[in-house]
Amino acid sequence: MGDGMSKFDLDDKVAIVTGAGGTGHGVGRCIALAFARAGAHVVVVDRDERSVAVVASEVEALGRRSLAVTCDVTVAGQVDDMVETTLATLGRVDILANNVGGTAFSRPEDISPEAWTENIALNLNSTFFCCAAVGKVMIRQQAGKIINIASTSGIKGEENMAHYAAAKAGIINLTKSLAISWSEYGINVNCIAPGRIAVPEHAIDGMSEGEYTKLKAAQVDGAPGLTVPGRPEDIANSAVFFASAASDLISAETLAVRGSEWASVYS
Amino acid sequence: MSVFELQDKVAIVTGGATGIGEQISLAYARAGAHVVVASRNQENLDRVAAEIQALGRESLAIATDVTVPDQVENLIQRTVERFGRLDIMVANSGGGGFPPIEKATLADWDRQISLNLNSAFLCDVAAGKVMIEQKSGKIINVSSTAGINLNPGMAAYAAAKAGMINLTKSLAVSWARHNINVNCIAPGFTATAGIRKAGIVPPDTRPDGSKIPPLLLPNEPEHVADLAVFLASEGSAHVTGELMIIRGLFNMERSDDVMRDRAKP
Repeated sequence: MGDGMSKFDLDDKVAIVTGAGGTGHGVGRCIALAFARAGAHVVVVDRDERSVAVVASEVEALGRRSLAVTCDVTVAGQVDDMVETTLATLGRVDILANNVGGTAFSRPEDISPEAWTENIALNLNSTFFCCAAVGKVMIRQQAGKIINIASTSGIKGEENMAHYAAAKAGIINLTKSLAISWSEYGINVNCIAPGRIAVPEHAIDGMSEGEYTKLKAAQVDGAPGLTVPGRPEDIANSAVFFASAASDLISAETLAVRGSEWASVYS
Repeated sequence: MSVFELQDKVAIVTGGATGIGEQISLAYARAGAHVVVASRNQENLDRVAAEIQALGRESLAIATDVTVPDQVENLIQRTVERFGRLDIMVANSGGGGFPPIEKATLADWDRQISLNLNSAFLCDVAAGKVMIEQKSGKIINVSSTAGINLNPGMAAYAAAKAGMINLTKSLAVSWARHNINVNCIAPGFTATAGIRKAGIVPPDTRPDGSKIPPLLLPNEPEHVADLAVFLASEGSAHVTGELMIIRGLFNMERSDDVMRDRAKP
C-alpha cells in the first residue's frame, strides 16, 4: 500500500463485527475480511457457532488475530459477555460494526405485536445493546469508531416491511444521538444504509432466479454498474472508510450505498 | 492494491491551488493520481503543480475562470489532449461576498450564483461529456453546510450551495447508466489558511489546558481531502447522488432547527 493510503489502514486495530457468520447475506463476513485485509484483528460475532469459527479462521489466514464468539446480540447479557471476552483476549475495542439484522414481510395491518417486537429487537435493540456495551469501553479509551448498518428502507420506507423500515430508521437516528453524546470522548458514530445487495449465492432479497441471471449478465468484469444491485464489498469498503482515520471528522452521518436505486423514489 | 488508491487516474481540481482544493489536489497525487489544477491565479497553480510533481505525479496548471464556458472547455480539452482521458472532476471553486440581503442587487446575486453554482454546472457537464464517452468517471461537487443550514447573512451563497446539492442528484440519476458517480461534499467550518489568517479559528485547548477532542473542532482541509479521496476511489463504486457532510460536530448546534429557534425575534 502506498504512503498516501495509510489513512485508510486499520493496522492492529481491534474490531468487533456482528452478524459476521453465515446467517446473514454475506455482508458481515465481507466486512470482517475487509477489516482484516486493512490490518485489523477481528472479533467474529454471530448466533451460528459453526460459521463464526469458519470466518474467524479466514481472518487468521489473512495473518490477523481473530476471536470467534457465538452470541445472540438481542440479549443484553450475552452482549456484555461478548465484550468482556473481547477485552480479556485482545485488550481493547477500536471498531464496532453492527451488522446484525433481518428483514420481515407482512402487510402493516397484519403485523402482530409479537412480530413487531421481534423485528425491532433483532434490528434496533441489538444495535443499541452493542453500542452501549462497547461505547462504555470506548469512553474509557477516549477513542473509537462505531459503524451501524441500517438500510435504505430506513430512509424511504418500504412496502409491507413497516417493522423492518421503522427499526432501520431507528438505527439512523440512534447513530445521530450517540454521535452527539459521545463526540467529546473521541468516538465517531456513523451509519451505512445499503440498498439492494446481490450476494454470491444469488439469495437476493425479493429477486427471482431469472432476474438474478439478467443481473449477472449486466455485470462487467464481475462489477455491477450503478443501475443494478451492489455487492457486499461495496458495503465493506464504506465500513473500512468509516473505521479508518480518513473519516476522523465525520460523525452522525448516514451514507446510502445503493447505486441509482434511489432515483425512482422520494429520498 | 488498496481499493482507495487512485493509481494513474487523471483528476481535475478547480479552486485547486488554495484551501480545501489544494489539499484535495495533494491527497490525490499521494493516492497515485495525475492532477490538473485550475483556478484564476497562475502563480498559486504553479506552486501546487510543482508540489504534485515532487510527489512523482504529473500535473498541469491551467489558469481558468470557471464561470466562463470557453475557459472551462479549454480546461477539459487541454487535460484530455495531455492525458487522453479524465477520470475525476472535483468542482471545488467558490466563495462568499454578498451584501446584507435588503441592499443586494440582482448583479450581486448573479455573481454569487455564477461563482458557486454555474461553475459546478459548467465543469460537471464538460467533464461529463468526456466521461460518457469513456463509460466511467467520478464527479465530486464541493458544496457547504451553508447549503443545508439556514444562513441569513449569506443568502445567495447558501442558495447556490443548496442548488449544487440538488444538481448532484440530477446528474447522478441522469448518468448512472454511463457508470458515472456524482456525489457531493458539504464541509462545515474549515480551518483553511485564509480562515486562520482571519483569526476566527477557535483554540484547540480549553482554558485549563486540556485538549479539545477533534470532533468538537473545525475541519482541517486535509480531513475534507480524505473524504474526496474516498469518493474518487473504487471504494465508493456503488455510491452516487449522495451528500456527505463533514463538520466534526462543531457545527451540529447550527442545524436548521436550532438556527431557526435562535432567529426568533
